[in-house]
Amino acid sequence: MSKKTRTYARVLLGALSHASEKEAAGIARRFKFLLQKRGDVRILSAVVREFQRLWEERKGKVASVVSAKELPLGSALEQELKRRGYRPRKEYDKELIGGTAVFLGKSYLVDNSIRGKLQRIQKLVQSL
Amino acid sequence: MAQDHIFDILQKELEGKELSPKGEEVGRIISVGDGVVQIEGLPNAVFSEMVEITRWPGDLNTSATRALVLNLEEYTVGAVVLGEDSKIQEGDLVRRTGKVLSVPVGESLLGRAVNPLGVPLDGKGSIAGKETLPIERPAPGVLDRQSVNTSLATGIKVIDAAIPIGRGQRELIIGDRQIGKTALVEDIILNQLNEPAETRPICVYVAIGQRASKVAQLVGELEERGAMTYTIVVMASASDPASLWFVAPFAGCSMAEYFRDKGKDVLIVYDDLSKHAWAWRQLALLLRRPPGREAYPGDVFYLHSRLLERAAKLSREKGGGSLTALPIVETQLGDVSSYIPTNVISITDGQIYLESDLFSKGQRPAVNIGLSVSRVGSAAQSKAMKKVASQLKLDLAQYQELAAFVQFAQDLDPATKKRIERGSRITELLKQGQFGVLPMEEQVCVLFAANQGVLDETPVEKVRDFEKRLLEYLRNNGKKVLKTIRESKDLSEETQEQLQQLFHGFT
Repeated sequence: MSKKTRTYARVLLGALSHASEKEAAGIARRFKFLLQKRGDVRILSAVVREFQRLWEERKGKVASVVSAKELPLGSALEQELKRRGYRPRKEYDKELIGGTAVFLGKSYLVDNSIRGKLQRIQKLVQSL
Repeated sequence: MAQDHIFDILQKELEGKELSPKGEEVGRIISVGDGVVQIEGLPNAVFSEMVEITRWPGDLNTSATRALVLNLEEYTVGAVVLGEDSKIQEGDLVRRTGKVLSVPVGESLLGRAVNPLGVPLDGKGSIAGKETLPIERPAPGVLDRQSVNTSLATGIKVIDAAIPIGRGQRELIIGDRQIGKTALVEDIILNQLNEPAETRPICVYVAIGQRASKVAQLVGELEERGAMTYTIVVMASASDPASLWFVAPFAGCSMAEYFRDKGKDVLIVYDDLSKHAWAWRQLALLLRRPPGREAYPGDVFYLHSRLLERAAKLSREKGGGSLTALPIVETQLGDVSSYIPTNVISITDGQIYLESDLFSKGQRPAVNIGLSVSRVGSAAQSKAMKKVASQLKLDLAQYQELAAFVQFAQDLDPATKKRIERGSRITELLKQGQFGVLPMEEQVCVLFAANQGVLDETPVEKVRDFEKRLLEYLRNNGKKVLKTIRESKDLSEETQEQLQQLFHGFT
């Protein structure tokens, strides 16, 4: 991702942070014109993706907790993540079979799911 | 031992004892196309690291696709996919392996045809042994080297006499397409059968972007003649992704270095580096690196120099092994002054230039002696060959100077006419069909015969037949002389006299 993309995303974030819903629509339209004027429309999707990431992170980094079944509200895991400054976001995926996997931001995974364990065992067996 | 350890881990896993999950660094695919992926995340990935791309949570039946990290940018990581990229999707999970790209090495690779990642292609089962080496390794330092001092017998008269190659040398083979470059190196590999088993070089043939059928044919021919026992074939075929073309010579070099570091002599052929440069150009452009001359990236010289610098004759303290490199470069319409040929010419210790005109005139191998050179090989040439080659080179040089007058041969003085006739016979004598490699002692005898004027009375068109009969005669009646030359590697005056007597008996 280029610096330009990141700069556009940050500018957009700054403009939208305190805007009302009505103002936001105008800002988005003007932002599109700005990109057109500067000949950068081709990076629009990259800017939007980066903006989404920044928007989600503005109140702290997101930790996605993926589990096979719905976790109880205020679980120990949730509490621990909050204590460490993460904003827990719950997701469900039956494919995990059981257990949970936690994505810390976009660059760290703690996989404690049954499927993850099976995959690790599969890898061990294949390396024999 | 390792199996017991893994068994222990498995048991603990299955018993639920090892339940604590381990965190791992991951990234997500943000774009994929033409064998190149951009990855978000992986903040600590290192250059040349192997990463694994999987769908998450993933299917237990599909294995991960491997990719090689080549671009480390501020927010993203660029990697080339080592395999099929059509199944990779945006959002796929990328895991670090913590290992730089490595390939299997060892004795078990001998006689095998593998892809650049060491995966067997010959249907002879998996590669035994688990030893691996990274594909990018530093070249031996100055103190670890010694001068080239042993010759590498190619079995080809024109090369062994005029452009000798030493073990540890880098000799470029350059020429247009369909001119016999691969045939030449195939002969050189086959000729190693004439070497004693204890000093026979291990051969590694790296095919980059070659047709699979052509490589299969080469493997078949080597196998048929018993040369695969000391040969490894690394193949990135024309249908493989550019990333594998890029990796192939480095992987082959690591496989060869394993033997070099064990004190053995190794010969590696890169067929060919033009296609390797094309692959690197494609990857570099897709990785958005700035293009330079002919759209090649700025580091295309370094790409080949760091590869060829790994060829060396190691010092005794380091085992005395050697790695001889024969890179091949394909020219367009004989243009040796284009970018890649000039780069590789300047990196190597000489070049064997194959010319289309000579090829179409029936000169096989079509070596242009005037443009070919070996900068270090003559130091390693045997005394016997040196003695016959010096006269031969002189005769040839005089012939080439006078060759323009051949059509006016009737009006020339007898001395000039004699030189032209001798030259044309030597030129004919240097023709050699494919698979017609000769051991050093036989080459010496044939060239000595030419120097002594034994061929002068033979019509040019019958020179090759004469040579064939002479060799037959020597094999039957001159076994002792051949043995003396082979063992002493010299052509003493006594041996010269014995040879002259044999020639007399033959004629």
